[in-house]
Amino acid sequence: MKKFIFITLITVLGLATLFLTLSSNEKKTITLRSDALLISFDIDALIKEADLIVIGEIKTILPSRWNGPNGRSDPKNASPDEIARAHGLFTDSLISIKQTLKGDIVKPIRVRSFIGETDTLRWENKSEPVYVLGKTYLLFLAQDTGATAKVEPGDYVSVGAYQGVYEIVDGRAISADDEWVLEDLIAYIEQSLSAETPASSTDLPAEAFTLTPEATELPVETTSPTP
Amino acid sequence: MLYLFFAHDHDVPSPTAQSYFRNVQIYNLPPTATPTATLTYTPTATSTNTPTNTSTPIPTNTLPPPNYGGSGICWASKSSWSSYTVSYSIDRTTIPTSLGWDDSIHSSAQTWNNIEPSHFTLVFSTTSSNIISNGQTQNQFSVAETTPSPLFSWTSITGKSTILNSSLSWDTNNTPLPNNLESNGSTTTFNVQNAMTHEFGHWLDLWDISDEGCSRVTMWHEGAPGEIKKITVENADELAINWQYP
Repeated sequence: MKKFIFITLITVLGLATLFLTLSSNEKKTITLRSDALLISFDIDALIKEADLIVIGEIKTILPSRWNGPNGRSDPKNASPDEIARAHGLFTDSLISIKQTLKGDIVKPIRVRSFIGETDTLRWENKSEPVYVLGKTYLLFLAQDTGATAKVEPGDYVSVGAYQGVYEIVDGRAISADDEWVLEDLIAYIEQSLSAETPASSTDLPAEAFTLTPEATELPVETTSPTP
Repeated sequence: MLYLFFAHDHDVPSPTAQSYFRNVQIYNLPPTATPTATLTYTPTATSTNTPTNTSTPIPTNTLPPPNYGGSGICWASKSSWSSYTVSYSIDRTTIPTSLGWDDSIHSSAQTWNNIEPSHFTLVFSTTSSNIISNGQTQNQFSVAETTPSPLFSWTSITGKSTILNSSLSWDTNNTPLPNNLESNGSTTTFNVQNAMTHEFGHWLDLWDISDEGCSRVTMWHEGAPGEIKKITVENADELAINWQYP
């Protein structure tokens, strides 16, 4: 009888341990990080480069997606390996516009950030803005022309990633490396826009965005040198 | 009594740098002579040779395991490779040899290989799965982006790939302006070696640095057209690789 109880106890404990292990594994999230060297923008360059400059509140943060093959964007059935091969996740946020300082807005604004999270994968990038639901931002936005632009086109990205995102806190506009009294920043933007060409030391000329020559040469295999 | 002073301005809140001067020569000039000083800048040598490690060879199995998660003034690191030798390849469909970028890319790798006493080595291999390409970046405002390998390991890096933004114009001119050693003078093009030296730093899993007073380091997080200052690594970059891969 004691032997039966002992075996039963061991079996129950074993099953419980197995269940707990499987449960914890299911919840484990892999964190991967991409790094970007950003083009540097000062305030004048941000104003010049932006298609839209708006003040708005983050109303909705949509589920993260990825730029998968054959138009797949729902990461539900994609492995972390597949997502990493496609250079990670991205997340769109919907913004309720309170004030427009530059550009014409014809529909709700969807802003993309190249970070995200699913049940199994967390994708980080220190350069990318992390929008917080309910917070208000002054945003320098440009139409997305990057690698994921084809996934539900029409989204915007912040100019220079984190550089074009100013959180509004107590009447101040604060970015990662800049801070203004909000009214002063708005006045400066309006003044710059009313002038023909805002002066800037780091304006990026249009020529900097021209395409490099198309590759025409086929791969040439050579032997690997000994280190 | 007249004195000649040598000083080092380590312009950070908690200065720790030490200065060493050598080959200082002092001459007595005739009273009529006009002393002149000439500052000569020698850009990083470009070579068709593929990267090598110039430090004293030590059998791999006697090296200590790489460190990870370190930080100091103007540097920080996260994971590390399990090996001291990592290969890279160049995507020939987007960076054909005719583009003339190979020397810049190899020199970028060599810059990290030259740092002593670190024994870490980046080696060019046409078959490596760690690929450098020229294409669309996720964010159009990135000069370049480096992503990790899909083959995940909890303890170490298993692969890296870098994309140089193909919507930007690029140059391979490493000659600085006479009055600005940090720029080649271009206002429209980005320098390949400048960007790749920074990106290879990410291959070592060194972090982007944005701390005040650190803008001269190779791992500084932003770049500009004509910039070539990242080609030459600073003391903080050297401390980082020497700590990460002793």
